[in-house]
Amino acid sequence: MPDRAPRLLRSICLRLVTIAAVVLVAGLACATMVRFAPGFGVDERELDPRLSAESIAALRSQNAGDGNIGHFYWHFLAGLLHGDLGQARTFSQPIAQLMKDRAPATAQNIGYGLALAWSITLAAAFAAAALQNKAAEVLLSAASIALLSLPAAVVALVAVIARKPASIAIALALVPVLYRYSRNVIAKNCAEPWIAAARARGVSKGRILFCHVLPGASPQLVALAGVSLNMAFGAALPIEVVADSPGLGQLAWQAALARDLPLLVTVTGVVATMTLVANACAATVNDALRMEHA
Amino acid sequence: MKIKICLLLLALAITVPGFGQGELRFCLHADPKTFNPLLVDDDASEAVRYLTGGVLVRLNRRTQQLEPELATAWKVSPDGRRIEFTLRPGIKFSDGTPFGAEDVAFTMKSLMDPELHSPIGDGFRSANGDMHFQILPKNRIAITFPAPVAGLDKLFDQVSMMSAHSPEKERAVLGPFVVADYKPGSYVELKRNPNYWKKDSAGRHLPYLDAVRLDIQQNREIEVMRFKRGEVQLINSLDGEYYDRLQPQMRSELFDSGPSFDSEQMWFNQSPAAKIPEYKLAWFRSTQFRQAISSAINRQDLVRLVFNNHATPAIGPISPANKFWFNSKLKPHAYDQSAAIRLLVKAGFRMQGGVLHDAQGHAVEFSIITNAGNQARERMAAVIQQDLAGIGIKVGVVTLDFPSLIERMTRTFNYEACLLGLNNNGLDPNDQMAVWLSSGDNHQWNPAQKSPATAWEAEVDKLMRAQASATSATKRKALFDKVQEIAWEQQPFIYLVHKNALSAVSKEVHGAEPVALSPQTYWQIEKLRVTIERASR
Repeated sequence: MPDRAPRLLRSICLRLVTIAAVVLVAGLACATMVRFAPGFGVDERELDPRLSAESIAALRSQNAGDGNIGHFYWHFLAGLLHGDLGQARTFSQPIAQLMKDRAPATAQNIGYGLALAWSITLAAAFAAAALQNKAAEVLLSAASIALLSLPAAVVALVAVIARKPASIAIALALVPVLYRYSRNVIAKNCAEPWIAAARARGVSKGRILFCHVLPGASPQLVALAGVSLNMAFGAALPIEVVADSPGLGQLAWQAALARDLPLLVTVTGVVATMTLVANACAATVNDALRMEHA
Repeated sequence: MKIKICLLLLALAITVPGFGQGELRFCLHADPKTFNPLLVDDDASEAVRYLTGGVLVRLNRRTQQLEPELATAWKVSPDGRRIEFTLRPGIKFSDGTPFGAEDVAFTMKSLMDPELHSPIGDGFRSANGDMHFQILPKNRIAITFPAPVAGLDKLFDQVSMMSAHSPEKERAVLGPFVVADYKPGSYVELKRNPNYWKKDSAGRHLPYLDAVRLDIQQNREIEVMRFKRGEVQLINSLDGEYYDRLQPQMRSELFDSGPSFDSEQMWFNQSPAAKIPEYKLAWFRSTQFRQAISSAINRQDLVRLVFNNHATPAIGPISPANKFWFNSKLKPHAYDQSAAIRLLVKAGFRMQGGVLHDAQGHAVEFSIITNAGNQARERMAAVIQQDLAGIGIKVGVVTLDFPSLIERMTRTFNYEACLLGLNNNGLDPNDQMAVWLSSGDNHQWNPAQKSPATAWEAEVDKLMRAQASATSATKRKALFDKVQEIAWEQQPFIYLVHKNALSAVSKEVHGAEPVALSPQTYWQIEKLRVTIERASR
């Protein structure tokens, strides 16, 4: 018991080091893929017939600057240490400013989307567990399968037509996955012998769910919460593009289309950091819970 | 009594439909890359520049003639090197700084900075050397260039004047609006310039509108949907498909202004650096082969099937919309597959079992690359594929994203034929200099030649240089007519269609007269009005 705190601290430190290493490798991998993607270093403006040969040559030499991956990445990291993320070629703006401008929209989309998705998921999963009704379960499963079969971009298009915000589309993209997993976890916990014993003793359904089933299912649900953030980021990319929501997803898409190396590496780093931090938080909470139980 | 009158006026304002000084809304399809008018090289920034920038002379988008703006008069010297402007007196920038000859000199010096690499600046750069400015009495300024600049006065339509002294730098403007707010990815808000100089015939200060909101909307589908809902009031450049979709309900709000200045064309890769077999290069370099391909493509089908009749078959590099420069003597390219086969036979090809073979026995087949996601081009490629199958040629279609396509066109030359469009924002053929000069980087079929590969390209070089240095418009026209004739004959670009300039203007907007030349719907922005209902919404 007394060595619980140092153990927890050690595990947090280890996770932070892992996150830093993975983000560095992810950034390098992204830079390498972009560098060797067809169309790297070209600029649409080269086709402007009004530009003189000198201007086209200047454009080409400017875009060829990022050609050496090792050189680029070294300078990128050095700039990062000084808080300078460089300049986005696509937008002719400092990347730090772009991230500052775009992050709130994505945070809002993902935040509301996750809150809504988890509310629907938990309500549906608890309702299914509480009702124990075959028809309701079939209905919920059918709805979840129908939503699961729709690509996120289609969900986004439906949201646009219905004049709903991108966060609704993110929620609808997450609900089927979250519901199926949560439903299984809760159903598994409902089948535990102590739950049967509680039922036999006449404990109310609500008390069983919230005092016995939920604590038992919480480690898996916490882990799922971490994963759901990754899923939300994944869904945000096509949804923000289709719904024209000015967030990081749309920014990443535009950067990818234009092969904007520094911008893509930055967006990859931010998304990788966010997902890893979310996973690490979920894992740390689980560790703490496990230690508590032990 | 006063209160009663005020209430009566208020009631009238609410109930009687009329014009208000409201807000006009329309979409940009990307974030503006810059608000500095001299650095503009993208459509979104160009829209902002048009709405906020003040120019010495403005090209009337309907008559295609220059009209006075900040300059009340101008005169180009007979040698085409010098232009003298008489500036309008009493003009102030949006921040109150007075406008004068020094600002014109400052703007031109900044524009011609070689480090700027501005397409507008490059238009003035006919030879190495410095410009000279002469500030003359009576609010006049003369600018002398090191060599003659063809169409010199028209180039000033694109040059927004900047203040030499304002602490607000490029934010101090002379146009009808100023940038009030910009939220990246969302909108640009423009407010009326309180110091705008123009008045209407009744002496009212222009613009009529209080504000213009430019929503950044990349998705065209959403833009159309928002237009239907009344959330935006203009669509500047509408696709034929959307035009037809809107037509049943909104016929009176849609405008087809006839052929645009843009062209759709295909060409064969003739570069010696091309990564294609020699025998294919030989086909592509054969004038008869190119003429045969051109004859075998049914342009009317492209117009009908791909553009739902919202396009015009193309004859050459200049659209019939360009009133002065279009060579009206050129005949349309006839669709005649029998004539195409005769031409091919004459060039040594032969038909064998329904498949065309060259003299060495190679079956004639090639691939066309075009940009992915452009539905019209993908459909055009499919129609061309079908047409050429009719003369025994097998065509493959490859769609690539834009950077990959440009890389193949300009770096690796790893393609056989390409289908693409050329956006012509200007009227003057000098804007196409880099396309027609054999040494040009945009001489797509065989770019950056050290010396002209063919006699006709040498002739085109000579004609283009001659027209660029000629000072008489008639002489320039005669020279460029010859270039158009050579292009018609040799078909290095097989011109296919000019899309029509389609636009949508809501009933709430008054005073719009959509035209083919950009910006189609808001070229007289200061005279547009919106109805009171919309303004107060």
